[in-house]
Amino acid sequence: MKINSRYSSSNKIVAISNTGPLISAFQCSGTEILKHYFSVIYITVSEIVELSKHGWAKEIDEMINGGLVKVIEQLTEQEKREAEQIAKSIASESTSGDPDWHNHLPEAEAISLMQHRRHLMIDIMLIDEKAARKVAQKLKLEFTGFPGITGRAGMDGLISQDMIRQMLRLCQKKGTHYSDELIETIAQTYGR
Amino acid sequence: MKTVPESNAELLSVEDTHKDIASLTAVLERRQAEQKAYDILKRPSIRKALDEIISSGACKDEEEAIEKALRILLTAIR
Repeated sequence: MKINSRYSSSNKIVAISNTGPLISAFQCSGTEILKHYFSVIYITVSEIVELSKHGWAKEIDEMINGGLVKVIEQLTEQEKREAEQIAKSIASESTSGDPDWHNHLPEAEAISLMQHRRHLMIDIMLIDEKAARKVAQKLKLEFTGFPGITGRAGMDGLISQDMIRQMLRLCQKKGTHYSDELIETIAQTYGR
Repeated sequence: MKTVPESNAELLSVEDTHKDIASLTAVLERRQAEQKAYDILKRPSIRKALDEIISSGACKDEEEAIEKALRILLTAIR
């Protein structure tokens, strides 16, 4: 997918991402949109492990090699401890589909890093999972999800209404739980 | 085989996504505003003017100097 970028590199923002929005971008070949808005997207090693486990190793490697995605190799002991607490909070949320906190460590690490690594100047977190978003909201962190990014791209005229629909439907077809109502509303409200 | 993690987790509602777009928009606008402010403040003539104003004691810092300057300009054009 080719889009015309109207943002100069100095106007792009810095994000830290959970696996969900990246997988959605891979599913619908929508990584160009990410390049349009973000100068860097940070991820953690545990997210690479999760992405690889789910078959997205080649795609994430390409994004790392292309320079858009940067890996935060190691967390401090404090960050690890905090991530563990955050993972437990996510697991205990009613919207969480998995009560095992260990499985929420990737998103918990992203939340912990966004709070601690001020020097990385992270503007926003990319996260689609509802339970993790609730925890991020309690911590007053800025976040958005992949459908939100496609909606903004629609507003900016980078992709058409039909393109938003096609992209989110592709994600849905490949296993991401975007509802028909969500897809149609985003396409009609933000697409032209 | 390509799959998604936590496939049984509850995902986004329409309302969540409207909020997401508003959040992303606010962050993008803030970034643009910061860049604009930075571009202006790094101009040597602006730097010199600000330094002069602050060292004269008329304003305690850059923020106050910019705010006062805008108020004075606004009064002048009204």
